Amino acid sequence: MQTNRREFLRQAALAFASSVLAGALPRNLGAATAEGADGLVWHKAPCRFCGTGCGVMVGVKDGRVVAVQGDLENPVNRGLLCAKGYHAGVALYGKDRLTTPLIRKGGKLTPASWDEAIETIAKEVMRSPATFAFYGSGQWTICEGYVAAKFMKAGLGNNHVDPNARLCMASAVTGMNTTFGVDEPSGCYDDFDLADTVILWGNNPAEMHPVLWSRIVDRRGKGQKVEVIDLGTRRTRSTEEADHYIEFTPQGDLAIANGICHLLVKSGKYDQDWVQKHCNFRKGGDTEGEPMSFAEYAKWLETYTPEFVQKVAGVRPAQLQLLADRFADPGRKIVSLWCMGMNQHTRGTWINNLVYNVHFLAGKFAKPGSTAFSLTGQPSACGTCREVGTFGHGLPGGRLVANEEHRKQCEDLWKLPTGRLNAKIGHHAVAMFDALQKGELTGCWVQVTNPAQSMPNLHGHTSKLKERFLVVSDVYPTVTTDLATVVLPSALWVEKNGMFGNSERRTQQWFKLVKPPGDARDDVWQTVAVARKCFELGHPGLKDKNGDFLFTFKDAAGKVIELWKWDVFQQVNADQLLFTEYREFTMMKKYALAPYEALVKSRGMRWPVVQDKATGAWRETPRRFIEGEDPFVEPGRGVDFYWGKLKDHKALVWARPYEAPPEVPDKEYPFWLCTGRVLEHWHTGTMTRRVPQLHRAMPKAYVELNPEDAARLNITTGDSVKIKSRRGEVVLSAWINGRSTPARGAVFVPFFAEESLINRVTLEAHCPISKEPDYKKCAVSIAKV
Amino acid sequence: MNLRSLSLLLAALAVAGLARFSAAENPGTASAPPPAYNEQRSFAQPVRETPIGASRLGERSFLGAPPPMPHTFAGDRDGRYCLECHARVTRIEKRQSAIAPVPHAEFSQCQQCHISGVNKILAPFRETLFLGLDQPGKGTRAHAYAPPTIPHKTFMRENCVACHGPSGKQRIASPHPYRSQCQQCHVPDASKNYDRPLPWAKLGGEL
Repeated sequence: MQTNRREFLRQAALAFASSVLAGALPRNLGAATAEGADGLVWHKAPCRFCGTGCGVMVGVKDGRVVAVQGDLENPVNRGLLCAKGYHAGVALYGKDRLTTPLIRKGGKLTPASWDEAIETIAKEVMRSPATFAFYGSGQWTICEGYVAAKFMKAGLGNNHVDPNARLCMASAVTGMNTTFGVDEPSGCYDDFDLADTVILWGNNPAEMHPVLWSRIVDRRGKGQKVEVIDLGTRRTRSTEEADHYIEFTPQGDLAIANGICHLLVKSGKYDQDWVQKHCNFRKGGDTEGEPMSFAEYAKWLETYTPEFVQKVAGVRPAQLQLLADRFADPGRKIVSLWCMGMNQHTRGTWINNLVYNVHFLAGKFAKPGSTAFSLTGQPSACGTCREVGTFGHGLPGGRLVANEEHRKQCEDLWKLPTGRLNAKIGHHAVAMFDALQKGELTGCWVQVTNPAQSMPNLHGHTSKLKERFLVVSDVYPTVTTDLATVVLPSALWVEKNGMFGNSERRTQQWFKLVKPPGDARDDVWQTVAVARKCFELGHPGLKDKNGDFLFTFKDAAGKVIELWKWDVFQQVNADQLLFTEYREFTMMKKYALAPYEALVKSRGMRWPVVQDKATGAWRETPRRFIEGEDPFVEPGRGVDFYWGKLKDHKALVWARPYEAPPEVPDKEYPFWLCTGRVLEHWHTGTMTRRVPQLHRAMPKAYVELNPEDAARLNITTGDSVKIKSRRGEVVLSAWINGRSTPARGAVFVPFFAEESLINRVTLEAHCPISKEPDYKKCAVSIAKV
Repeated sequence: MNLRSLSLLLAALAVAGLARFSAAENPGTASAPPPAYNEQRSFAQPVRETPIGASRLGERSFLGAPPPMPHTFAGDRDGRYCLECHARVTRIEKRQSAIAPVPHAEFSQCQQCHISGVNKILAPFRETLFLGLDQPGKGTRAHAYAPPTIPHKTFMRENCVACHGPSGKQRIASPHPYRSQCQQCHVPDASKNYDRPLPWAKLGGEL
């Protein structure tokens, strides 16, 4: 027995030694599927929820998803997930999944066949194609967005297609476009591993991007020093980990950013060399502006003294100095993070510009560990909405509707007759629902989103929706399907092939792993089927210049693949066909997405992706604009803003002033209202509320008050409180010192609960450049009921 | 059954791993659907009969899902205090404690995965048909006296006593908690560690 044991240990030690030895070999990223014991098969996929883009391994057994784990091979999350990600598989199996098309007949949604539903939609589109709109989503897969954009822009010849991403990161887009001439962050998550200081600009990643948050703060457990400075209007779980909490008055962020720049310039502690090499200065409130000199900019900054900043932002001079000192420290690596706090802002574009200013003046940009990084809320706001260009003003690959040359390029790539693409910019999201409200638009197709819950000032934007021809593709009944004329049951996540593009430019691909329930079908198929029906009914726009249907693909034998037939669609990989067509569009603006085949083998690749001529391997780009990482940088420049507005390889520092918000608390409505998400629920809760574990942890919405305000109003946790604005009201339970604590004079309400719609109360005022509404500040009254 | 069969077992495990990962080289060519595509059961057909909550899975929705916090604690934002009680302990005396140490000490944001304030008796928002992966069952043994293999993945379960120590469930408690080097005898089962492929599986047959 003794010998046996010793021999066993020897064997075990040998096995261990060989494992260590082999561990030095490069890891095989192609191993994306693995079959374990008991017929359980694991496949790679990106998580369904936020813009972090964690890799998950989906466990499939007997045709059903039975488990989800973090993917150790994925460099985004390295095996870790958050509470939502682990339960992504459960979200597929709510008992009330939509499984059959429904058509409103005699006021009631009645089951119908797919043929009838597709024909009903196509006939309505044919009746008035110019007043039919498409409202999509940052949760669209890349190909879903591509198909919808092509159907609308090339097919119907109108640009009324816009996504819910307009409500979520449009200001980040216009911010980057105005600052360095091209969309999407230059840095990447690797910078989070290197930063000495992380500054949160109105951001709560502990709940909204938990895996990235762990990536930052867990460095402390490894003995690294990471300073976190939380600039916010309420104390959150993120604040608990922060070294400094700097509370500011809503909209005060504009003054704070300028105030930091003022201190840097005044003290001479800015990076003069970096600024001279890489920056131009510009003044004005719009996207064009006028040139200004550095001296003029320095003079302009003089308004933003610590005293002025204290007056409008409520930040003490010492706090402002602390921020300036961090940026003035030459050896310090700083990452700024933001999400909805800066984007859902009536001056969202400006505040985005201003945070880049701070990093530019400090020379803390486009360096490993130093960047200003806009986090995205949705899994493919970047990959689909921004890169495919599913906006009223956009065309695929960073092109613009208003640019004749861009239209011409798209017409060539889509084989359209010259002049087919409409030069008139389509409605942005808020304007689209305004137009539907007024009847200027007669119909709208909504996919993968829930506008009757998520639009601001709901009554003003959705109360007439039921009178319009509303098509809703979704997976569960929502408050939007309640208003629909036609409801189409959709496939969800791993029930279809798909691709998402995350916050750090990483495109991730997954395969269909299980069947959708009942008669539910892919959104890609739905759009192609309606397009085909319009083609058959004779709409000229659905033909290319050769008279072929817009979505014509041929197999190896030259035979047309009839994608619009469901049985054919299921047998081919439409994602591969569509993505390969779309990929051509991504070259002009140097997005340069990887080919589909390379994405299949990888855990996502960050664009631009170029092929190594010697080896044929595809190489991703962790950081843009940096020589040695970004293949498009001109050699010798070090940092190259190759899309700079003035075509001189420089970015712009914008003089954007402080401006008061459109609605501020007054005597009648004395409180600020801020809305947002919680850890457990995703957006309007359609999926996560159907996960019993998540629902039991966060069953209903609440209103958070500052404890002092609550004491003054005699409100305690659990009391019913009426929140009322000029637009509407809602009653919620109070939660004091709970998940977060708002500043005095402010309240917070999450928007996931369909039974207590806080967006009845919110304001539709939006940034005039990005058209993104401000869900973070409006004036409300609070009363115990 | 003796040490020869044991080494055979190790080899067999490795070969199984090889087969698994060579199949994984091409996770479905781009145009072909993935393997599980064509043979699928209907939507509503359950995989296991045990309802959620009836087994050791407790409040978890499937094996591998992070368990919700089973108790209330001071405040919703106080997750950083979890380790005051649940810190990793290595000394044997400490394991007599009834508080489970964390199995993955490198992570600090407990509430990110272990949701708090769970109301166990609350009816679901909508009913679910999800049936999750069940508990792993017993590990394999080379012979009656051989130590069983670890039947589940080990990522995030590096500290075995978190579950198998005195604070864990009786049925899976170690009969010898005073021995601290668990993996000296109990080896991980390659077929259960799907996402941490054991490196020899990648050597292309050169074991």
